[in-house]
Amino acid sequence: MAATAYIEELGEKSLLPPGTTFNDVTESVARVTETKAPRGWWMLFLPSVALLGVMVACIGYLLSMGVGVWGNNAPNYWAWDITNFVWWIGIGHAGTLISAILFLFRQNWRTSINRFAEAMTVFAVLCAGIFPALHTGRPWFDYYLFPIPNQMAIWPNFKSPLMWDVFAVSTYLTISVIFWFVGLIPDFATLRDRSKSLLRRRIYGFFALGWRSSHRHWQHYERAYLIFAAISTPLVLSVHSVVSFDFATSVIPGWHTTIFPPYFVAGAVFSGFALVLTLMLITRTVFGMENLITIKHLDLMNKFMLATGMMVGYAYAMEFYIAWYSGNPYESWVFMHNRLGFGMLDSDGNWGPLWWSYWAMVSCNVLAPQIFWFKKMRTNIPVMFIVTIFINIGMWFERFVIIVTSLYRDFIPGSWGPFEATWIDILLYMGTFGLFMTLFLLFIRWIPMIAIAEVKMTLPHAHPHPEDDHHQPAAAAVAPAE
Amino acid sequence: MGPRQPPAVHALAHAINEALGAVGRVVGFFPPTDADRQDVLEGIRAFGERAASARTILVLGGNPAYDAPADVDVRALLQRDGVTSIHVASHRNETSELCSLHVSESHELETWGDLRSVAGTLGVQQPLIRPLWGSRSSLEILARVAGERNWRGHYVVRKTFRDAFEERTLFETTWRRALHAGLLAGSRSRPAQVSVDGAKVAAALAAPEPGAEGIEIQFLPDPALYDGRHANNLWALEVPHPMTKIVWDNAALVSKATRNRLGLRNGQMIRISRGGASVELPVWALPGHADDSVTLTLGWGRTAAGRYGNKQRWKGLGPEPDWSAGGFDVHALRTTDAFYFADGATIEATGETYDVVQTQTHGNMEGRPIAIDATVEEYRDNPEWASYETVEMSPGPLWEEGDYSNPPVRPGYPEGGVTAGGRPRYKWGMVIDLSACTGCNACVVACQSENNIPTVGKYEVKRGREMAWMRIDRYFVGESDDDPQIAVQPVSCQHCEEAPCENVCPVNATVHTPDGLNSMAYNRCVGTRYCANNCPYKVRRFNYLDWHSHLDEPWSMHGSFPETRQMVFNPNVTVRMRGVMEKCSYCIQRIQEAKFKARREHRQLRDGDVNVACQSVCATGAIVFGDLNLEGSRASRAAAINRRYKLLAEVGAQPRTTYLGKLRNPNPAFATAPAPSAAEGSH
Repeated sequence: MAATAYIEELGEKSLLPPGTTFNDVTESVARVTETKAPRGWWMLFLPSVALLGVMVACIGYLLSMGVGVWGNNAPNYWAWDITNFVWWIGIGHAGTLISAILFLFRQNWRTSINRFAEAMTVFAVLCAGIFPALHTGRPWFDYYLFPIPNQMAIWPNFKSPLMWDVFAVSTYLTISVIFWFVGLIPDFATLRDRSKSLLRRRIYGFFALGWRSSHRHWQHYERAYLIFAAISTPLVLSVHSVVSFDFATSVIPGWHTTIFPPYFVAGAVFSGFALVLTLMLITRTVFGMENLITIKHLDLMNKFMLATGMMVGYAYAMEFYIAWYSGNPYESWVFMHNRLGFGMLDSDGNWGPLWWSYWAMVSCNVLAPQIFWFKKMRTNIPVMFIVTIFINIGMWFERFVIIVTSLYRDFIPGSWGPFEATWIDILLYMGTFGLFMTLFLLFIRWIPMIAIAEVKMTLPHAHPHPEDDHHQPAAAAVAPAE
Repeated sequence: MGPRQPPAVHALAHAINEALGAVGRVVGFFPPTDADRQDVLEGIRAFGERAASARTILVLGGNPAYDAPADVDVRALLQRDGVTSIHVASHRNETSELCSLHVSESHELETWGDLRSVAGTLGVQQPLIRPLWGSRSSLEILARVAGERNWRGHYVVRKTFRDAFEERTLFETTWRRALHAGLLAGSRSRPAQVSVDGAKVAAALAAPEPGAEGIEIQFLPDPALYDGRHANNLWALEVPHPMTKIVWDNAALVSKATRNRLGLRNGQMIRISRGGASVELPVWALPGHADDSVTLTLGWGRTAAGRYGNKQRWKGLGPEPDWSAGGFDVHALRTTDAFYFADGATIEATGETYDVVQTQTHGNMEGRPIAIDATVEEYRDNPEWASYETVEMSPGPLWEEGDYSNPPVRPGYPEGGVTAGGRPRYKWGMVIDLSACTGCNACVVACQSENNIPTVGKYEVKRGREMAWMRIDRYFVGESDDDPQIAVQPVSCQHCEEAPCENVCPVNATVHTPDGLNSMAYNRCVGTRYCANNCPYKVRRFNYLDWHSHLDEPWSMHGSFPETRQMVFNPNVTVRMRGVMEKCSYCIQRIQEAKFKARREHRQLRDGDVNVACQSVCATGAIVFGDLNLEGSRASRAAAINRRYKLLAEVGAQPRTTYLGKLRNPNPAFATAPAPSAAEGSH
């Protein structure tokens, strides 16, 4: 991996505190899987499993009764289901971005957080997959969406963006899992070698795939990692672009927008970083990882959120401009009335529904991150924790705003209708947090949560000639670590 | 002029008709066929007096315990000690519960009977089915009570006809002809020559009765339940009120000004009191309603109508809340002296609110060209005004389309084109004339009946899950809420040629047929609902739950239905399960049936062979359906009328259904009519 070299002239410094040894890194990461779980872990794990139970119960109820147990109706045929799907898929984007794109750009600060983010990607995509799978009226026929040769001789409709979704999301999940696993191989081997019980050795040994840390292994490994990074990179752009096509290719005002693909990708990265940071702040505290995940990492992530937050803010503004510039009365109605809420007082003096969701979105996504212009705030852990929570909420609302506030008042005023979520909507969404957190907590308990090998490469003594570093351009310093 | 109006108003109407020269041309007067029939109200009063001392009371049909005027206490009369009361009715109702005996009466469709029209024409009512439950018609029961030995309905009706018919020898022929035609030709009465005594009319109008202080009440039969007899009919319960679009309940309709003056909001419970009696029901403002007046509809708030019609609280299932439905009985205010109108009522708020549910909550077109209208002058200035408001788009094809115009000839397959150069394949289309549509809802219910469309209950309608394939949108047009114009617009699937729903279905469950129908393959549908999202007309309906089971008996979800319940369904139409999308199919089963028939007769379909359900019940002929490729067909001629327009043509979906813009002909002497472009009301 890209071992590197920081350029002192540019003000770069070692990401880890000086004096950190290889052993320190191995110890602090591997120790988590070898000792008893701290109380904090159990305090998170038990409620997560309980929430997972709630999710299973909700799914059981949903399957036995039908989609009608949700609040979806006419004209809001999609609501929380697809909102949650897009939100979870978006969460997953940080993982791919950090592990693939930042890898290609030699951003070494990623090494402390990429494992985390990749795990989150996989779990988030699993959570996301639940919604499209269950939102169908007859989920037991979901296999009609796959191009399986069948006796009816009917293919799926390849013109449908939902069909593209099936391919985009399944590709994304496959690549994410493989990429994650490939990165884990040397670390599994480390755990295997440290194992004191036969069972542990067998299990970690199985996943380590016979890794012996030979030169040849490293050479193949580095090459494979680079290839997977290259394959994953377009996926960061493609998955959410394809998801946005669900809306962009339709005729519904508020959906039919060419800005959606980049807008969705920026939003996905934005929300992904926010959730990675939320979880990282918790884990960092619970497991005492302050030395590996430093304030410098957090600062960089906050800058990312500031940047992507501005991008989505720009997209929000641009949608209004286009709504006005297009002269399309249906489009401008959606933005001025459904979203901003102008004229929402009806003739009886009652407030129209749902305008507040737009303002919740703007405050959380555009206003809240502005605080990161100040370094003091970027390095203040309680502040960034609160802001990331806001962003997570705001990005959920963004999807809700796009889906529901476009649908509930579209072309024909006679068929307008409000949307109201049911308890099952809320509990199922909460329940997917249970699934996510359960998987995530099992991950940090049993799998090295930080890429041991990669972090070691960023240490100064990973370089054969550390004193020469500042004479070489950073990009040229790609050399096998051992 | 309805029977509800007082004589002075009738006289005025006759005077107007005479002044217009309508008498004899449009209006005819016929002697009453039942000359000895009492005034209804007199009859009720007489019943009250005589029943007070009777020992046996026979109630033939009806439901006086529910709907008799409040000052005739039928309930007490029926329950008096020593009285044997017998109720003959097709359904058990409030009266049956109070009577000592209930005799089940055959349904109208099971009975023989004779009828006479207002103009005196005799008709024969013939049964369509043997009585399902071995019941007797009221005629048969009367015949038995009267001691007839041969009391069967057929015999009794035939005998009546024979007695009325003078020439016995030819009776058999005449009877058979009457059976065939349904009526006895030539039995119409001669119109009477009457004239209006103008002086008396003027005198009656000059001295109107002074109205009492307070609010005036007017009692109207409900548009769906009538007097309450249809209260247990789910179709009637769930068909929206034509103006308020309220389902499953009635409300006290008032004008907006009156409601605001009373400081009320829609859905608040009010107590209407008059002469010591009072009823409580929710208030609802209807734009255009007269001020200081409240309209109450009869037929609601039944207590023994049956499973669905009873006023009751429904227990919600699982996390769904409880809710109540079934409306409010207003008969307590209705007395024999205030049978149609009552004045001097007072209204006060009770402080409670009630969940009133509508199928349409937004009644303003927001300036959009949806239900397009114009005055006659504007139409004369620009006969094609309707299509000017919408833009027809014709983008070039992205790829080569299949040529369906001249399909291969197959023997015995007429729609393939019988001869070379024969007319092209069918192009089914519908034309809906907004000028003719009265918004009566007949098409909505006909569609429901034809296509096995389920009802979903008040709570699910509130959640926007009603299933009607055909809906009638009602808009208030005009500048003010006090005097709006109404525009009604039936909307069902437009069968777009570039259907937005078809592209987005991931499983090819909604596809185009060669003759231009946008069809649903129910068993292919997985229910992603993407099609419904992408439908600009929002005409697709989704089976969110299993509407064919009882929600309060989930264990019977997949149980077998009793035979009578199965008979409710049209066997030619698939009953859809939960999780499946559905929508108007242009009655494809009727199209197929007509095609099969034509094929058996070795001919092509002719205009009029296919009658879709909504079209066949439309009293004003507002809906025309047929083959647009057939020159001279009613549909193709209607689709070429200059008032034509395609709904939301600017979206580019190229709908097959054509609308004809609504024309208004306002009398300039009355309130000014709204300009059609000023569709923005303030509702």
